[in-house]
Amino acid sequence: MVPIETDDVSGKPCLQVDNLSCVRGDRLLFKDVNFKLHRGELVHVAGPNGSGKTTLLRIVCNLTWPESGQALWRGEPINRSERFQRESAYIGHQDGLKSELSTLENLRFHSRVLNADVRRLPTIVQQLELNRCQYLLAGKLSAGQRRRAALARLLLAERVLWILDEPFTALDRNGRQVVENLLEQHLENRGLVLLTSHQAFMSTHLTNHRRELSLS
Amino acid sequence: MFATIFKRELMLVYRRRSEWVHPLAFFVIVVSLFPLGLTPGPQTLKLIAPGIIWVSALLASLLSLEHLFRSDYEDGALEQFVLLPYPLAAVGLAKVLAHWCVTGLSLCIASPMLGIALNLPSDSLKVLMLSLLLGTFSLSLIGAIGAALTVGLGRGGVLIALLILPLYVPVLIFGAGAVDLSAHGLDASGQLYFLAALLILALTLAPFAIAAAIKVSLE
Repeated sequence: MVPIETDDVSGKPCLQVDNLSCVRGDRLLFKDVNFKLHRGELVHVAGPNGSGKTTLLRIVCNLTWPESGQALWRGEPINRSERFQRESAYIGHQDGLKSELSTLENLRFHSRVLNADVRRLPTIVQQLELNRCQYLLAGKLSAGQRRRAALARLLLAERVLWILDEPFTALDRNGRQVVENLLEQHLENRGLVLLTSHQAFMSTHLTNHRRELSLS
Repeated sequence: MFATIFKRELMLVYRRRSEWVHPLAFFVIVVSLFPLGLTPGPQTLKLIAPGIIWVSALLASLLSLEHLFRSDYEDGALEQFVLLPYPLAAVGLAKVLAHWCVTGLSLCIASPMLGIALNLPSDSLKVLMLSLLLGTFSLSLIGAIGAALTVGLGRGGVLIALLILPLYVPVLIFGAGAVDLSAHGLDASGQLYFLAALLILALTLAPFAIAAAIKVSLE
């Protein structure tokens, strides 16, 4: 599913974060955050509320700027790397769905802008168990259904790096299972995952393979 | 990509009818309030008509702009646009174009009716429509910069007016000037060319300013 690139046989990390510090207002959120992410790895950013987890993810996907330090994607700074934009996908707190469009219309729009194959949509809808609400307006969906629809974008986009901010919020047990399976599959395909979550994984495979990055 | 975003925007505006019906109703009502407040004779009415119609169109356009980026900001769609491997300026332009096709064009189409109500000679109605056609698009482009700058501020309503209204002045002067000249039976093409020039200037520069403003607002 995820295209394997020839140049990462070298063992170099795909994503490298060096000495990242962030100040919001006059408060230091975090200082000297370092980590590396190789293919097939998952980093779980942990920390109490307000410790800067979301900010860290937003810096890594270039939505916000750090006070100092930098993030590199395959050796290039992410803010100047066009490759990074083509190879990463971010799902934040907000789901990016338009309430006035149906779930399917939303996903169809996303597949078009992401240059994805529209024919894969039915399978993806099935995979995330969205069949029952695909013709409903996104504004009428429950929070959990919206989350699933937002996560469907990950499957459409087929990117190597997944950056997920609290992907499990509002999901039921079954939904968590589905998403954890997706994560496992993505790691097996040598994809990279950077996520924040307050809950522990249910899957032992993910629990064993995750690396924790703790912000305090 | 441009066409996809443009189509999505049109569909969204179509489904949120209040977004273009309200500014249009506002435009019609404000224009009809002036004669009631001033009780002018037909001659005075003709004199002040270009200014009234243009100022009202300008305010209506400003009113409609507040929603331009708001919902995309609130539901996270704006973030996703920024992350696309596609120039943000083009996304902004597609949004403004779709927005103008609905709000700006509806103002243009309603304007001859108001022109007749305000006793404008029928020859100048064509100039009125043409000036609004060129002018409202410039207004949308310039206003979108303000909308993008204030989208992160929760209540940007008044601030966007303070930021943008001074920038609207050149468009207002040439737009109302064109109608005024033609109401006096003079040739208005000079003013219309100026409006066209302003439009081209806005069309080339505003998308970049909009893109930069969106990035700042999301930070």
